[in-house]
Amino acid sequence: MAWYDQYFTPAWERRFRYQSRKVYANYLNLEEDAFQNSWLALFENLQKSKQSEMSDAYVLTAFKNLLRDEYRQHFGRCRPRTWVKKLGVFWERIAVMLCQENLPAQAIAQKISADPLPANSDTSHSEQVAFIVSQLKSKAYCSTLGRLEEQFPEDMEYGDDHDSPDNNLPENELAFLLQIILNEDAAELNQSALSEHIIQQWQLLSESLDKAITNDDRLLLILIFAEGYSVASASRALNKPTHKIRYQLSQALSSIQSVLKQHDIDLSVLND
Amino acid sequence: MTIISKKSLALLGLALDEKKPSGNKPSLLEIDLWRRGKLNKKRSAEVQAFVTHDSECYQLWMDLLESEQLLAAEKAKNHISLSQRLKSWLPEFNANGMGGGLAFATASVLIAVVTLKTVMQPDLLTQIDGDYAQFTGEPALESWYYRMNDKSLDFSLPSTYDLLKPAILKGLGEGLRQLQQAGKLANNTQWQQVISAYPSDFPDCPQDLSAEVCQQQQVLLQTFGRNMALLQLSCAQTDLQASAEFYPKQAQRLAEFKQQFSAYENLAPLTEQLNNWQPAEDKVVFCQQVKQLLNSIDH
Repeated sequence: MAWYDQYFTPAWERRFRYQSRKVYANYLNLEEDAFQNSWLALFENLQKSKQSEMSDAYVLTAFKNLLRDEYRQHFGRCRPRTWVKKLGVFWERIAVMLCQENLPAQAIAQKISADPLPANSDTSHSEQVAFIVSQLKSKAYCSTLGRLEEQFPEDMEYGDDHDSPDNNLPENELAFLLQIILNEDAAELNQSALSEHIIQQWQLLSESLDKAITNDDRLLLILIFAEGYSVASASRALNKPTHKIRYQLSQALSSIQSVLKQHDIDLSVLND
Repeated sequence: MTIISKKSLALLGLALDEKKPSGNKPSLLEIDLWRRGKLNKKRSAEVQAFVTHDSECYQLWMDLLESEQLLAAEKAKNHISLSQRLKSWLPEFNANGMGGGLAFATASVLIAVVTLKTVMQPDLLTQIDGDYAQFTGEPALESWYYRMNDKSLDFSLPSTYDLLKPAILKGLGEGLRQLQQAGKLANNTQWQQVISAYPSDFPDCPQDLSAEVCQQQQVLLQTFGRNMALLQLSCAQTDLQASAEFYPKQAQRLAEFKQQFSAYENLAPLTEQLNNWQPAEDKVVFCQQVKQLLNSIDH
């Protein structure tokens, strides 16, 4: 028996079928074919892989990705715009669901709830999803590259860069991004003046921040503040003890604060 | 001065990110190896940069974390159902076997002690059962003839542990039988001979142990035997390609067994042997230790 046979047992089939039902919840007639094709592709993938490099999480994720590829073959691909991506994967995932399936906020909340969720969100889960949906719908949140991608897949590999390059977001999108970020503090500040000042300083600020905070810091900030992970969940995801995570978090926030201050943006942080 | 929340400050800092990662864009497999600390320093830094700055790579990392959470939740659920089965057994035991008053109080303490020991086991049992379910490979029959070699003469009265050793051998035989029934081991005469050489019943309880303690030890030793069968089967693979987790996982499991054996004074020789176990990630060293341990049990 080959080592990868362990992933083609009834227990694993149940896991794979659960994933496939999630992806094809609205297109049940396509589910079985997608499942079979993905299963076959996974088998071929594992045959070429080394057992020593494998993990169960990898195999499950690889299968999910194969299902997604199958889905894209039917429905094309929706890429959220760069400003959406900057708000984190949670936003991005909702944008993709809106773009591909045009689901109402409640259905998206239900669909996302099937996944294990980050634990320490302030607002309730469906309220948070409803807020994100309303913000996304108030602005063009997805590029419409799906059909183009099918025609010119190689050209569209970096299609988003043609449409709105990461390093050159239009000013109106930057302003919108800042409006969302600073929204919850709107009562406390003169938001438009602050946004305008930040946009003027954008390039310089970004260069200074690149030096002040590491990739490690950024990942931690994303997990905690964009994804809503608790400190304990972040410590598990990053394989670090919680006391180090807390220290790193406060250091990273101080670094951002001092870089902003150097550029005449004097912000004091609420103890939330 | 303007007052904002920590979240706004962090998101603002993240939004200002304009950095582009360098190097080759990592695959899903490389991202998984990175998060498990299995890449070299240089590549690890490159992959981390992609995960931080490239939304597709970041999404793949998130997917991996989500899969890991799902699998862990599933494992925890299985673990809980085992504990619940144990709990559902206990009230029945109380109702049917126990009276009231002092007898009940004494029995409750006894149950608590027995339960404490038994509750430690489901985790080990689950792991071992999982390994049997996932076992693959074609172990070489010759590797089981360790039983024919290295026998020295020894004149001494058997200790309590010696008298209980057949419980481990019973576990070894059961492990092999289970795999043969599942079609994972060849169903031929040679394997049949190997399996039938192991006892199919527990040994009689030594006189110096109470029936209760004897039964606990028999079950524990049998489980240990089943695990040893897995180890020897791994060593009997002509081309064992152990995953990086294999050796540390086995060392951890043996440590758990050792902890449980240490609760029983009469099992001190076995505890001592496990104390001498050297954590090894080399197949030759690891399998030599398995062989020595099996020889001492089957002596």
